[in-house]
Amino acid sequence: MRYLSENLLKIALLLTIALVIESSIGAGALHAQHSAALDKRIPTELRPVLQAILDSAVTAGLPTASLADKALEGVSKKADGDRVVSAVRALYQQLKTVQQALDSISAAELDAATVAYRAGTTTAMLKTVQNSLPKRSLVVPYGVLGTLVQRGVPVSDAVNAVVKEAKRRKDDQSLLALSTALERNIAAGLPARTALIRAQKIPDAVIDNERGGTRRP
Amino acid sequence: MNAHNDDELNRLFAPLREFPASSPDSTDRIMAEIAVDLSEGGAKNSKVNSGWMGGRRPVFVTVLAIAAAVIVVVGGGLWQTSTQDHLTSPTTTMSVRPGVVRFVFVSADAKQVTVAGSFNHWNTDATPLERVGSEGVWAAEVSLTTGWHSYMFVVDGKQWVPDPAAPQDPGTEFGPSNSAVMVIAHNSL
Amino acid sequence: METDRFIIARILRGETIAYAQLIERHRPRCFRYACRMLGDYDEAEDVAQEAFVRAYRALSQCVNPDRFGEWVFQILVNRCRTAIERRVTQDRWFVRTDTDILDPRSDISQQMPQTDDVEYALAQLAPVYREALILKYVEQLTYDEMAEITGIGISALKMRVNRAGAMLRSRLLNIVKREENYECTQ
Repeated sequence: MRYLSENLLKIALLLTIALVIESSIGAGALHAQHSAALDKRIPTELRPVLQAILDSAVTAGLPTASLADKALEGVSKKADGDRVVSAVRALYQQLKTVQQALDSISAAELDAATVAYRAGTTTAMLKTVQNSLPKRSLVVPYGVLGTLVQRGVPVSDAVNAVVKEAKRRKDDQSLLALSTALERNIAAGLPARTALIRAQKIPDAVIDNERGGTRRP
Repeated sequence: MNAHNDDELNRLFAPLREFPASSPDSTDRIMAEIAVDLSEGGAKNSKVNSGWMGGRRPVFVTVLAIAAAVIVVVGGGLWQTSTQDHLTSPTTTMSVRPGVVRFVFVSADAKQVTVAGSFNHWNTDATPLERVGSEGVWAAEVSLTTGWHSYMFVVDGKQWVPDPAAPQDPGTEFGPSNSAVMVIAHNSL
Repeated sequence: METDRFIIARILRGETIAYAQLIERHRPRCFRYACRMLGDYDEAEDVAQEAFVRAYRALSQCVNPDRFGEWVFQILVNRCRTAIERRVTQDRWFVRTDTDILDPRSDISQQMPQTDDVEYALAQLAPVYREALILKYVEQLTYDEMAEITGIGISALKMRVNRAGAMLRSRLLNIVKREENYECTQ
Protein backbone atom coordinates (compact mmCIF):
# COMPACT_ATOMS: atom_id res chain seq x y z
CA MET A 1 0.00 0.00 0.00
CA ARG A 2 2.80 2.30 0.95
CA TYR A 3 4.58 1.35 -2.32
CA LEU A 4 1.46 2.25 -4.25
CA SER A 5 1.15 5.60 -2.48
CA GLU A 6 4.77 6.46 -3.22
CA ASN A 7 4.28 5.56 -6.87
CA LEU A 8 1.15 7.65 -7.05
CA LEU A 9 3.03 10.51 -5.48
CA LYS A 10 5.82 10.13 -8.04
CA ILE A 11 3.33 10.03 -10.89
CA ALA A 12 1.57 13.12 -9.57
CA LEU A 13 4.92 14.88 -9.24
CA LEU A 14 5.92 13.93 -12.77
CA LEU A 15 2.57 15.09 -14.11
CA THR A 16 2.95 18.40 -12.29
CA ILE A 17 6.44 18.90 -13.73
CA ALA A 18 5.17 17.96 -17.17
CA LEU A 19 2.36 20.50 -16.85
CA VAL A 20 4.74 23.20 -15.71
CA ILE A 21 7.07 22.45 -18.63
CA GLU A 22 4.13 22.39 -21.01
CA SER A 23 2.81 25.70 -19.75
CA SER A 24 6.32 27.17 -19.90
CA ILE A 25 6.63 26.06 -23.49
CA GLY A 26 3.19 27.54 -24.17
CA ALA A 27 4.10 30.78 -22.50
CA GLY A 28 7.44 30.76 -24.28
CA ALA A 29 5.74 30.29 -27.61
CA LEU A 30 3.38 33.10 -26.82
CA HIS A 31 6.25 35.18 -25.59
CA ALA A 32 8.16 34.51 -28.79
CA GLN A 33 5.11 35.41 -30.84
CA HIS A 34 4.87 38.83 -29.24
CA SER A 35 8.60 39.29 -29.27
CA ALA A 36 8.46 38.85 -33.01
CA ALA A 37 5.67 41.43 -33.19
CA LEU A 38 7.83 43.80 -31.17
CA ASP A 39 10.93 43.20 -33.25
CA LYS A 40 9.36 44.33 -36.46
CA ARG A 41 8.57 47.94 -35.77
CA ILE A 42 9.70 48.70 -32.25
CA PRO A 43 12.92 50.75 -32.25
CA THR A 44 15.94 48.81 -31.01
CA GLU A 45 16.48 51.03 -27.99
CA LEU A 46 12.95 50.37 -26.71
CA ARG A 47 12.97 46.61 -27.10
CA PRO A 48 14.75 45.63 -23.87
CA VAL A 49 12.51 47.65 -21.58
CA LEU A 50 9.32 46.66 -23.37
CA GLN A 51 10.41 43.03 -23.42
CA ALA A 52 10.94 43.21 -19.68
CA ILE A 53 7.37 44.44 -19.20
CA LEU A 54 6.03 41.63 -21.39
CA ASP A 55 8.09 39.10 -19.43
CA SER A 56 6.66 40.41 -16.20
CA ALA A 57 3.18 40.13 -17.67
CA VAL A 58 3.75 36.49 -18.61
CA THR A 59 4.95 35.78 -15.10
CA ALA A 60 1.96 37.54 -13.59
CA GLY A 61 -0.43 35.70 -15.88
CA LEU A 62 -1.51 38.86 -17.64
CA PRO A 63 -2.44 38.96 -21.33
CA THR A 64 0.58 40.26 -23.20
CA ALA A 65 -1.21 40.92 -26.46
CA SER A 66 -2.81 44.18 -25.38
CA LEU A 67 0.54 45.37 -24.00
CA ALA A 68 2.37 44.60 -27.24
CA ASP A 69 -0.34 46.38 -29.18
CA LYS A 70 -0.17 49.42 -26.97
CA ALA A 71 3.52 49.66 -27.81
CA LEU A 72 2.84 49.25 -31.52
CA GLU A 73 0.11 51.87 -31.38
CA GLY A 74 2.54 54.38 -29.89
CA VAL A 75 5.23 53.58 -32.43
CA SER A 76 2.81 53.83 -35.35
CA LYS A 77 1.61 57.19 -34.08
CA LYS A 78 5.25 58.27 -33.85
CA ALA A 79 5.10 58.93 -30.11
CA ASP A 80 8.50 59.35 -28.48
CA GLY A 81 10.08 56.37 -26.76
CA ASP A 82 9.47 57.50 -23.19
CA ARG A 83 5.82 58.00 -23.91
CA VAL A 84 5.48 54.55 -25.44
CA VAL A 85 7.15 52.86 -22.48
CA SER A 86 5.15 54.91 -20.03
CA ALA A 87 1.85 53.98 -21.74
CA VAL A 88 2.71 50.26 -21.79
CA ARG A 89 3.81 50.35 -18.17
CA ALA A 90 0.61 52.16 -17.15
CA LEU A 91 -1.50 49.58 -18.96
CA TYR A 92 0.46 46.79 -17.27
CA GLN A 93 -0.31 48.29 -13.86
CA GLN A 94 -3.97 48.71 -14.72
CA LEU A 95 -4.28 45.12 -15.94
CA LYS A 96 -2.58 43.89 -12.79
CA THR A 97 -4.77 45.97 -10.48
CA VAL A 98 -7.93 44.71 -12.14
CA GLN A 99 -6.70 41.11 -12.23
CA GLN A 100 -5.96 41.17 -8.52
CA ALA A 101 -9.42 42.53 -7.76
CA LEU A 102 -11.32 39.90 -9.75
CA ASP A 103 -11.44 36.14 -9.34
CA SER A 104 -10.65 33.71 -12.15
CA ILE A 105 -11.18 35.99 -15.08
CA SER A 106 -10.35 35.30 -18.71
CA ALA A 107 -7.95 37.43 -20.73
CA ALA A 108 -10.81 38.87 -22.78
CA GLU A 109 -12.76 39.73 -19.64
CA LEU A 110 -9.67 41.26 -18.09
CA ASP A 111 -9.15 43.44 -21.14
CA ALA A 112 -12.78 44.60 -21.06
CA ALA A 113 -12.72 45.15 -17.30
CA THR A 114 -9.56 47.21 -17.69
CA VAL A 115 -11.35 49.36 -20.25
CA ALA A 116 -14.05 50.05 -17.66
CA TYR A 117 -11.40 50.68 -15.03
CA ARG A 118 -9.58 53.15 -17.28
CA ALA A 119 -12.89 54.92 -17.91
CA GLY A 120 -13.28 55.52 -14.17
CA THR A 121 -14.92 52.44 -12.66
CA THR A 122 -13.50 51.32 -9.33
CA THR A 123 -12.25 47.77 -8.76
CA ALA A 124 -14.92 47.37 -6.08
CA MET A 125 -17.59 48.09 -8.67
CA LEU A 126 -16.00 45.68 -11.12
CA LYS A 127 -16.15 43.05 -8.40
CA THR A 128 -19.81 43.86 -7.78
CA VAL A 129 -20.55 43.19 -11.44
CA GLN A 130 -18.68 39.89 -11.32
CA ASN A 131 -20.50 38.76 -8.21
CA SER A 132 -23.87 39.82 -9.61
CA LEU A 133 -23.45 38.03 -12.92
CA PRO A 134 -22.10 34.56 -12.26
CA LYS A 135 -21.97 31.96 -15.02
CA ARG A 136 -21.79 34.33 -17.95
CA SER A 137 -19.10 36.05 -19.92
CA LEU A 138 -18.34 39.49 -18.55
CA VAL A 139 -16.72 40.84 -21.72
CA VAL A 140 -19.79 42.73 -22.91
CA PRO A 141 -21.05 43.80 -19.45
CA TYR A 142 -17.67 45.29 -18.60
CA GLY A 143 -17.35 46.91 -22.00
CA VAL A 144 -20.79 48.49 -21.77
CA LEU A 145 -20.06 49.56 -18.20
CA GLY A 146 -16.98 51.34 -19.51
CA THR A 147 -19.14 52.99 -22.16
CA LEU A 148 -21.58 54.37 -19.65
CA VAL A 149 -18.93 55.64 -17.27
CA GLN A 150 -16.91 57.14 -20.09
CA ARG A 151 -20.01 59.01 -21.18
CA GLY A 152 -20.44 60.57 -17.76
CA VAL A 153 -22.99 58.28 -16.12
CA PRO A 154 -22.25 58.03 -12.36
CA VAL A 155 -20.46 54.73 -11.68
CA SER A 156 -23.08 53.35 -9.30
CA ASP A 157 -25.89 54.12 -11.76
CA ALA A 158 -23.90 52.52 -14.57
CA VAL A 159 -23.25 49.35 -12.55
CA ASN A 160 -26.91 49.08 -11.59
CA ALA A 161 -28.03 49.57 -15.19
CA VAL A 162 -25.63 46.97 -16.59
CA VAL A 163 -26.42 44.35 -13.97
CA LYS A 164 -30.16 44.93 -14.30
CA GLU A 165 -30.10 44.65 -18.07
CA ALA A 166 -27.79 41.62 -18.05
CA LYS A 167 -30.14 39.86 -15.66
CA ARG A 168 -33.25 40.88 -17.57
CA ARG A 169 -32.04 39.42 -20.85
CA LYS A 170 -29.28 36.90 -21.14
CA ASP A 171 -28.11 37.88 -24.62
CA ASP A 172 -25.40 40.47 -25.11
CA GLN A 173 -27.59 42.21 -27.67
CA SER A 174 -29.72 44.00 -25.10
CA LEU A 175 -26.62 45.39 -23.40
CA LEU A 176 -25.38 46.63 -26.75
CA ALA A 177 -28.76 48.23 -27.39
CA LEU A 178 -28.54 49.95 -24.01
CA SER A 179 -25.18 51.40 -24.90
CA THR A 180 -26.27 52.50 -28.36
CA ALA A 181 -29.43 54.11 -27.01
CA LEU A 182 -27.32 56.00 -24.49
CA GLU A 183 -25.12 57.28 -27.29
CA ARG A 184 -28.17 58.35 -29.23
CA ASN A 185 -29.73 60.16 -26.29
CA ILE A 186 -26.52 61.98 -25.44
CA ALA A 187 -26.12 63.00 -29.07
CA ALA A 188 -29.67 64.34 -28.89
CA GLY A 189 -28.56 66.60 -26.06
CA LEU A 190 -29.72 64.79 -22.92
CA PRO A 191 -27.53 64.81 -19.80
CA ALA A 192 -25.80 61.45 -19.20
CA ARG A 193 -28.00 60.29 -16.35
CA THR A 194 -31.24 61.19 -18.11
CA ALA A 195 -29.91 59.61 -21.26
CA LEU A 196 -29.35 56.38 -19.36
CA ILE A 197 -32.80 56.37 -17.77
CA ARG A 198 -34.33 56.85 -21.18
CA ALA A 199 -32.08 54.23 -22.76
CA GLN A 200 -33.31 51.68 -20.25
CA LYS A 201 -36.83 52.08 -21.66
CA ILE A 202 -35.88 50.83 -25.09
CA PRO A 203 -38.52 48.37 -26.32
CA ASP A 204 -37.60 44.74 -26.80
CA ALA A 205 -38.90 44.96 -30.37
CA VAL A 206 -36.11 47.37 -31.18
CA ILE A 207 -33.49 45.19 -29.52
CA ASP A 208 -34.72 42.16 -31.42
CA ASN A 209 -34.70 44.14 -34.61
CA GLU A 210 -31.05 44.92 -34.05
CA ARG A 211 -30.47 41.27 -33.53
CA GLY A 212 -32.27 40.29 -36.70
CA GLY A 213 -30.63 43.06 -38.64
CA THR A 214 -27.17 41.70 -38.11
CA ARG A 215 -27.85 38.31 -39.54
CA ARG A 216 -27.12 37.26 -43.03
CA PRO A 217 -29.84 38.67 -45.30
CA MET B 1 -47.18 90.95 -51.32
CA ASN B 2 -45.85 94.16 -49.91
CA ALA B 3 -43.47 94.32 -46.99
CA HIS B 4 -46.13 95.58 -44.64
CA ASN B 5 -48.37 92.59 -45.22
CA ASP B 6 -45.39 90.28 -45.02
CA ASP B 7 -44.42 91.65 -41.60
CA GLU B 8 -48.00 91.44 -40.45
CA LEU B 9 -48.24 87.77 -41.39
CA ASN B 10 -44.88 87.07 -39.82
CA ARG B 11 -46.17 88.50 -36.55
CA LEU B 12 -49.43 86.58 -36.77
CA PHE B 13 -47.65 83.30 -37.40
CA ALA B 14 -44.97 83.72 -34.72
CA PRO B 15 -46.81 81.64 -32.09
CA LEU B 16 -47.31 78.87 -34.62
CA ARG B 17 -43.55 78.57 -34.98
CA GLU B 18 -43.29 77.08 -31.51
CA PHE B 19 -42.72 73.34 -31.48
CA PRO B 20 -45.72 71.46 -30.17
CA ALA B 21 -45.09 68.84 -27.51
CA SER B 22 -45.30 65.36 -28.92
CA SER B 23 -45.80 61.99 -27.35
CA PRO B 24 -42.66 60.95 -25.39
CA ASP B 25 -42.58 57.56 -27.07
CA SER B 26 -42.81 58.86 -30.64
CA THR B 27 -39.26 57.84 -31.51
CA ASP B 28 -39.69 54.39 -30.00
CA ARG B 29 -42.92 53.91 -31.94
CA ILE B 30 -41.18 54.66 -35.20
CA MET B 31 -38.29 52.36 -34.32
CA ALA B 32 -40.73 49.62 -33.37
CA GLU B 33 -42.46 50.07 -36.72
CA ILE B 34 -39.13 49.67 -38.48
CA ALA B 35 -38.45 46.60 -36.35
CA VAL B 36 -41.69 45.03 -37.54
CA ASP B 37 -40.80 46.05 -41.06
CA LEU B 38 -37.47 44.27 -40.87
CA SER B 39 -38.80 41.19 -39.18
CA GLU B 40 -41.29 40.69 -42.00
CA GLY B 41 -38.52 40.01 -44.46
CA GLY B 42 -35.32 41.23 -45.94
CA ALA B 43 -36.83 42.81 -49.02
CA LYS B 44 -37.36 46.24 -47.56
CA ASN B 45 -34.27 45.99 -45.47
CA SER B 46 -32.11 45.11 -48.42
CA LYS B 47 -32.73 48.55 -49.85
CA VAL B 48 -30.94 49.96 -46.88
CA ASN B 49 -28.10 47.51 -47.17
CA SER B 50 -27.39 48.42 -50.73
CA GLY B 51 -27.36 52.08 -49.91
CA TRP B 52 -25.38 54.93 -51.29
CA MET B 53 -22.21 53.37 -50.02
CA GLY B 54 -22.94 50.38 -52.19
CA GLY B 55 -21.87 47.81 -49.66
CA ARG B 56 -23.28 44.84 -47.93
CA ARG B 57 -24.17 44.54 -44.30
CA PRO B 58 -21.68 42.87 -42.02
CA VAL B 59 -22.42 39.23 -41.62
CA PHE B 60 -22.87 37.50 -38.27
CA VAL B 61 -21.65 40.53 -36.53
CA THR B 62 -22.93 43.24 -34.38
CA VAL B 63 -20.82 46.30 -34.63
CA LEU B 64 -21.41 48.57 -31.77
CA ALA B 65 -20.16 51.99 -31.18
CA ILE B 66 -18.86 51.61 -27.70
CA ALA B 67 -17.72 54.71 -25.94
CA ALA B 68 -15.39 52.90 -23.69
CA ALA B 69 -12.30 51.80 -25.28
CA VAL B 70 -11.05 48.46 -26.00
CA ILE B 71 -7.48 47.50 -26.05
CA VAL B 72 -7.36 43.94 -27.13
CA VAL B 73 -5.42 41.98 -29.60
CA VAL B 74 -6.70 39.88 -32.39
CA GLY B 75 -4.79 36.81 -33.26
CA GLY B 76 -3.06 36.07 -30.00
CA GLY B 77 -3.73 32.53 -28.89
CA LEU B 78 -4.72 33.59 -25.43
CA TRP B 79 -7.28 36.03 -26.67
CA GLN B 80 -8.92 33.79 -29.20
CA THR B 81 -9.15 30.83 -26.94
CA SER B 82 -10.51 32.70 -24.01
CA THR B 83 -12.95 34.58 -26.16
CA GLN B 84 -14.41 31.41 -27.49
CA ASP B 85 -14.55 29.85 -24.07
CA HIS B 86 -16.30 32.75 -22.50
CA LEU B 87 -18.50 34.16 -25.18
CA THR B 88 -20.12 30.88 -26.01
CA SER B 89 -21.84 28.17 -24.14
CA PRO B 90 -20.24 24.72 -24.47
CA THR B 91 -22.95 23.49 -26.80
CA THR B 92 -22.52 26.25 -29.30
CA THR B 93 -18.80 26.83 -29.36
CA MET B 94 -18.61 25.79 -32.97
CA SER B 95 -21.10 28.41 -34.03
CA VAL B 96 -18.71 31.23 -33.23
CA ARG B 97 -17.59 32.82 -36.47
CA PRO B 98 -15.34 35.68 -37.20
CA GLY B 99 -17.30 38.78 -38.03
CA VAL B 100 -16.99 41.34 -40.74
CA VAL B 101 -16.95 44.98 -39.77
CA ARG B 102 -17.50 47.63 -42.35
CA PHE B 103 -15.40 50.70 -41.65
CA VAL B 104 -16.65 53.86 -43.30
CA PHE B 105 -14.92 57.20 -43.53
CA VAL B 106 -16.12 60.31 -45.33
CA SER B 107 -13.69 62.80 -46.78
CA ALA B 108 -13.90 64.48 -50.14
CA ASP B 109 -10.29 65.65 -49.96
CA ALA B 110 -8.45 62.51 -48.89
CA LYS B 111 -6.24 60.78 -51.43
CA GLN B 112 -5.67 57.67 -49.37
CA VAL B 113 -7.42 56.30 -46.27
CA THR B 114 -6.46 53.29 -44.18
CA VAL B 115 -7.67 51.98 -40.86
CA ALA B 116 -5.20 51.00 -38.16
CA GLY B 117 -6.18 49.39 -34.92
CA SER B 118 -5.72 46.63 -32.43
CA PHE B 119 -6.91 44.11 -35.02
CA ASN B 120 -4.00 44.79 -37.39
CA HIS B 121 -1.39 45.69 -34.78
CA TRP B 122 -1.76 49.36 -35.64
CA ASN B 123 -0.24 48.83 -39.04
CA THR B 124 -1.04 51.89 -41.12
CA ASP B 125 -0.63 50.08 -44.43
CA ALA B 126 -2.41 46.82 -43.74
CA THR B 127 -6.03 47.81 -44.24
CA PRO B 128 -6.74 50.35 -46.98
CA LEU B 129 -10.21 51.75 -47.52
CA GLU B 130 -11.54 52.04 -51.04
CA ARG B 131 -13.53 54.85 -52.56
CA VAL B 132 -17.23 54.07 -52.76
CA GLY B 133 -19.24 56.23 -55.14
CA SER B 134 -18.46 59.86 -55.77
CA GLU B 135 -19.51 61.31 -52.45
CA GLY B 136 -16.10 61.11 -50.79
CA VAL B 137 -17.08 57.93 -49.01
CA TRP B 138 -14.35 55.41 -48.22
CA ALA B 139 -15.06 51.92 -46.93
CA ALA B 140 -13.41 48.62 -46.08
CA GLU B 141 -14.78 45.38 -44.73
CA VAL B 142 -12.56 43.65 -42.24
CA SER B 143 -12.93 40.24 -40.64
CA LEU B 144 -12.61 40.58 -36.89
CA THR B 145 -12.70 38.15 -34.05
CA THR B 146 -15.27 38.56 -31.33
CA GLY B 147 -14.35 41.13 -28.75
CA TRP B 148 -13.35 44.71 -28.48
CA HIS B 149 -11.26 46.58 -31.00
CA SER B 150 -9.90 50.09 -30.97
CA TYR B 151 -8.91 51.89 -34.13
CA MET B 152 -8.36 55.13 -36.01
CA PHE B 153 -8.39 56.15 -39.64
CA VAL B 154 -5.13 57.26 -41.20
CA VAL B 155 -5.60 59.86 -43.90
CA ASP B 156 -2.93 60.27 -46.57
CA GLY B 157 -0.52 58.18 -44.53
CA LYS B 158 0.02 60.77 -41.82
CA GLN B 159 -3.11 62.18 -40.27
CA TRP B 160 -4.75 60.09 -37.51
CA VAL B 161 -8.50 60.70 -37.37
CA PRO B 162 -10.97 59.07 -34.96
CA ASP B 163 -14.16 57.66 -36.45
CA PRO B 164 -16.79 60.37 -35.98
CA ALA B 165 -19.46 57.69 -36.13
CA ALA B 166 -18.06 55.77 -33.18
CA PRO B 167 -17.49 56.69 -29.56
CA GLN B 168 -14.13 57.13 -27.96
CA ASP B 169 -11.59 55.09 -26.11
CA PRO B 170 -10.81 56.37 -22.60
CA GLY B 171 -7.06 56.44 -23.23
CA THR B 172 -5.30 59.52 -24.55
CA GLU B 173 -1.67 58.44 -24.17
CA PHE B 174 -0.85 59.14 -27.77
CA GLY B 175 -3.06 62.12 -28.53
CA PRO B 176 -6.75 62.07 -29.41
CA SER B 177 -8.72 59.07 -28.17
CA ASN B 178 -9.15 56.05 -30.38
CA SER B 179 -12.53 54.89 -31.59
CA ALA B 180 -13.93 51.53 -30.59
CA VAL B 181 -16.15 48.80 -31.98
CA MET B 182 -17.27 45.57 -30.50
CA VAL B 183 -17.96 42.29 -32.21
CA ILE B 184 -20.02 39.79 -30.31
CA ALA B 185 -20.22 36.06 -30.78
CA HIS B 186 -22.86 34.80 -33.16
CA ASN B 187 -24.54 32.67 -30.55
CA SER B 188 -25.43 35.71 -28.52
CA LEU B 189 -27.37 37.20 -31.39
CA MET C 1 -22.59 66.52 -32.81
CA GLU C 2 -22.50 63.84 -35.47
CA THR C 3 -23.58 64.95 -38.91
CA ASP C 4 -26.56 63.36 -40.60
CA ARG C 5 -24.14 61.90 -43.11
CA PHE C 6 -22.26 59.99 -40.44
CA ILE C 7 -25.40 58.77 -38.76
CA ILE C 8 -26.64 57.48 -42.10
CA ALA C 9 -23.27 55.82 -42.59
CA ARG C 10 -23.77 54.05 -39.27
CA ILE C 11 -27.27 52.92 -40.24
CA LEU C 12 -26.13 51.59 -43.58
CA ARG C 13 -23.27 49.84 -41.82
CA GLY C 14 -25.84 47.87 -39.88
CA GLU C 15 -26.53 50.02 -36.84
CA THR C 16 -30.24 50.37 -37.50
CA ILE C 17 -30.80 51.86 -34.09
CA ALA C 18 -28.81 54.95 -35.02
CA TYR C 19 -31.87 55.97 -37.04
CA ALA C 20 -33.45 57.02 -33.75
CA GLN C 21 -30.88 59.77 -33.61
CA LEU C 22 -32.10 61.15 -36.93
CA ILE C 23 -35.69 60.94 -35.73
CA GLU C 24 -34.93 62.87 -32.54
CA ARG C 25 -33.12 65.49 -34.54
CA HIS C 26 -35.68 66.13 -37.28
CA ARG C 27 -38.98 65.05 -35.84
CA PRO C 28 -39.86 68.29 -33.98
CA ARG C 29 -39.94 70.29 -37.18
CA CYS C 30 -41.87 67.60 -39.03
CA PHE C 31 -44.38 67.22 -36.23
CA ARG C 32 -44.89 70.98 -36.08
CA TYR C 33 -45.58 71.15 -39.79
CA ALA C 34 -47.99 68.21 -39.64
CA CYS C 35 -49.83 69.77 -36.69
CA ARG C 36 -50.22 73.11 -38.42
CA MET C 37 -51.17 71.52 -41.70
CA LEU C 38 -53.59 68.89 -40.41
CA GLY C 39 -54.86 70.61 -37.28
CA ASP C 40 -55.08 67.28 -35.50
CA TYR C 41 -52.32 66.12 -33.15
CA ASP C 42 -53.08 62.41 -33.38
CA GLU C 43 -53.18 62.49 -37.14
CA ALA C 44 -49.99 64.58 -37.15
CA GLU C 45 -48.27 61.92 -35.02
CA ASP C 46 -49.34 59.22 -37.46
CA VAL C 47 -48.30 61.13 -40.55
CA ALA C 48 -44.92 62.09 -39.07
CA GLN C 49 -44.35 58.46 -38.14
CA GLU C 50 -45.29 57.38 -41.66
CA ALA C 51 -42.85 59.89 -43.14
CA PHE C 52 -39.94 58.64 -41.03
CA VAL C 53 -40.70 54.99 -41.76
CA ARG C 54 -40.86 55.76 -45.48
CA ALA C 55 -37.61 57.71 -45.26
CA TYR C 56 -35.93 54.76 -43.55
CA ARG C 57 -37.08 52.36 -46.22
CA ALA C 58 -35.82 54.67 -48.93
CA LEU C 59 -32.62 55.68 -47.16
CA SER C 60 -30.55 54.40 -50.04
CA GLN C 61 -32.28 56.94 -52.28
CA CYS C 62 -31.25 59.89 -50.13
CA VAL C 63 -28.92 61.42 -52.67
CA ASN C 64 -27.41 63.95 -50.30
CA PRO C 65 -27.14 62.52 -46.77
CA ASP C 66 -26.07 65.91 -45.41
CA ARG C 67 -29.56 67.16 -46.24
CA PHE C 68 -31.53 64.31 -44.72
CA GLY C 69 -33.64 66.83 -42.79
CA GLU C 70 -34.85 68.56 -45.94
CA TRP C 71 -35.43 65.22 -47.60
CA VAL C 72 -37.59 63.75 -44.84
CA PHE C 73 -39.44 67.07 -44.61
CA GLN C 74 -40.26 66.84 -48.30
CA ILE C 75 -41.59 63.33 -47.74
CA LEU C 76 -43.69 64.66 -44.88
CA VAL C 77 -45.16 67.48 -46.96
CA ASN C 78 -46.27 64.91 -49.51
CA ARG C 79 -47.68 62.63 -46.82
CA CYS C 80 -49.70 65.54 -45.43
CA ARG C 81 -51.12 66.21 -48.88
CA THR C 82 -52.10 62.55 -49.20
CA ALA C 83 -53.62 62.52 -45.72
CA ILE C 84 -55.78 65.52 -46.61
CA GLU C 85 -56.85 63.95 -49.89
CA ARG C 86 -57.92 60.86 -47.98
CA ARG C 87 -60.18 62.82 -45.71
CA VAL C 88 -63.87 62.90 -46.31
CA THR C 89 -65.06 65.79 -48.41
CA GLN C 90 -66.35 67.76 -45.44
CA ASP C 91 -63.08 69.63 -45.27
CA ARG C 92 -63.48 70.86 -48.77
CA TRP C 93 -66.32 73.22 -48.00
CA PHE C 94 -63.74 75.42 -46.30
CA VAL C 95 -62.52 76.39 -49.74
CA ARG C 96 -63.50 79.95 -50.44
CA THR C 97 -63.33 82.10 -53.50
CA ASP C 98 -61.32 85.22 -53.83
CA THR C 99 -64.43 87.31 -53.10
CA ASP C 100 -63.54 86.86 -49.46
CA ILE C 101 -60.40 88.83 -49.88
CA LEU C 102 -60.37 91.83 -47.64
CA ASP C 103 -59.15 95.30 -48.32
CA PRO C 104 -55.40 94.86 -47.98
CA ARG C 105 -55.04 98.25 -46.33
CA SER C 106 -56.65 97.16 -43.09
CA ASP C 107 -54.16 95.81 -40.55
CA ILE C 108 -55.65 92.75 -38.96
CA SER C 109 -52.80 92.28 -36.52
CA GLN C 110 -53.75 95.52 -34.80
CA GLN C 111 -57.02 93.89 -33.84
CA MET C 112 -55.24 91.27 -31.79
CA PRO C 113 -56.50 87.95 -33.08
CA GLN C 114 -55.64 85.05 -30.78
CA THR C 115 -53.38 82.18 -31.78
CA ASP C 116 -56.40 79.93 -31.84
CA ASP C 117 -58.03 82.36 -34.24
CA VAL C 118 -55.06 82.16 -36.58
CA GLU C 119 -55.13 78.39 -36.47
CA TYR C 120 -58.84 78.37 -37.03
CA ALA C 121 -58.60 80.76 -39.95
CA LEU C 122 -55.73 78.74 -41.37
CA ALA C 123 -57.78 75.57 -41.14
CA GLN C 124 -60.48 77.21 -43.21
CA LEU C 125 -58.17 77.77 -46.13
CA ALA C 126 -57.87 75.29 -48.97
CA PRO C 127 -54.92 72.94 -48.35
CA VAL C 128 -52.84 74.44 -51.14
CA TYR C 129 -53.11 77.90 -49.58
CA ARG C 130 -52.57 76.57 -46.08
CA GLU C 131 -49.48 74.74 -47.25
CA ALA C 132 -48.10 77.89 -48.89
CA LEU C 133 -48.59 80.01 -45.78
CA ILE C 134 -47.15 77.43 -43.39
CA LEU C 135 -44.07 76.90 -45.53
CA LYS C 136 -43.56 80.64 -45.83
CA TYR C 137 -44.42 81.93 -42.37
CA VAL C 138 -44.04 78.96 -40.02
CA GLU C 139 -41.14 77.18 -41.69
CA GLN C 140 -39.84 80.54 -42.95
CA LEU C 141 -38.55 79.03 -46.17
CA THR C 142 -37.37 81.05 -49.12
CA TYR C 143 -39.30 80.76 -52.36
CA ASP C 144 -36.44 78.72 -53.79
CA GLU C 145 -36.71 76.24 -50.93
CA MET C 146 -40.49 76.14 -51.22
CA ALA C 147 -40.21 75.44 -54.92
CA GLU C 148 -37.81 72.57 -54.27
CA ILE C 149 -40.13 70.96 -51.74
CA THR C 150 -43.44 71.49 -53.48
CA GLY C 151 -42.33 71.19 -57.09
CA ILE C 152 -44.23 74.36 -57.92
CA GLY C 153 -42.73 77.33 -59.78
CA ILE C 154 -41.60 80.35 -57.80
CA SER C 155 -43.94 82.84 -59.47
CA ALA C 156 -46.92 80.55 -58.91
CA LEU C 157 -45.90 80.17 -55.28
CA LYS C 158 -45.63 83.91 -54.80
CA MET C 159 -49.09 84.36 -56.23
CA ARG C 160 -50.42 81.61 -54.02
CA VAL C 161 -48.87 83.08 -50.87
CA ASN C 162 -50.26 86.48 -51.76
CA ARG C 163 -53.72 85.17 -52.25
CA ALA C 164 -53.57 82.93 -49.19
CA GLY C 165 -52.40 85.83 -47.02
CA ALA C 166 -55.30 87.98 -48.14
CA MET C 167 -57.78 85.17 -47.54
CA LEU C 168 -56.40 84.53 -44.10
CA ARG C 169 -56.70 88.18 -43.16
CA SER C 170 -60.28 88.16 -44.37
CA ARG C 171 -61.10 85.15 -42.21
CA LEU C 172 -59.39 86.68 -39.22
CA LEU C 173 -61.24 89.91 -39.56
CA ASN C 174 -64.52 88.06 -39.67
CA ILE C 175 -63.58 86.10 -36.59
CA VAL C 176 -62.50 89.21 -34.69
CA LYS C 177 -65.69 91.00 -35.68
CA ARG C 178 -67.81 88.07 -34.56
CA GLU C 179 -66.00 88.01 -31.24
CA GLU C 180 -66.51 91.75 -30.78
CA ASN C 181 -70.22 91.42 -31.53
CA TYR C 182 -70.41 88.52 -29.12
CA GLU C 183 -68.78 90.57 -26.38
CA CYS C 184 -71.18 93.50 -27.01
CA THR C 185 -74.22 91.33 -26.59
CA GLN C 186 -73.03 89.92 -23.25
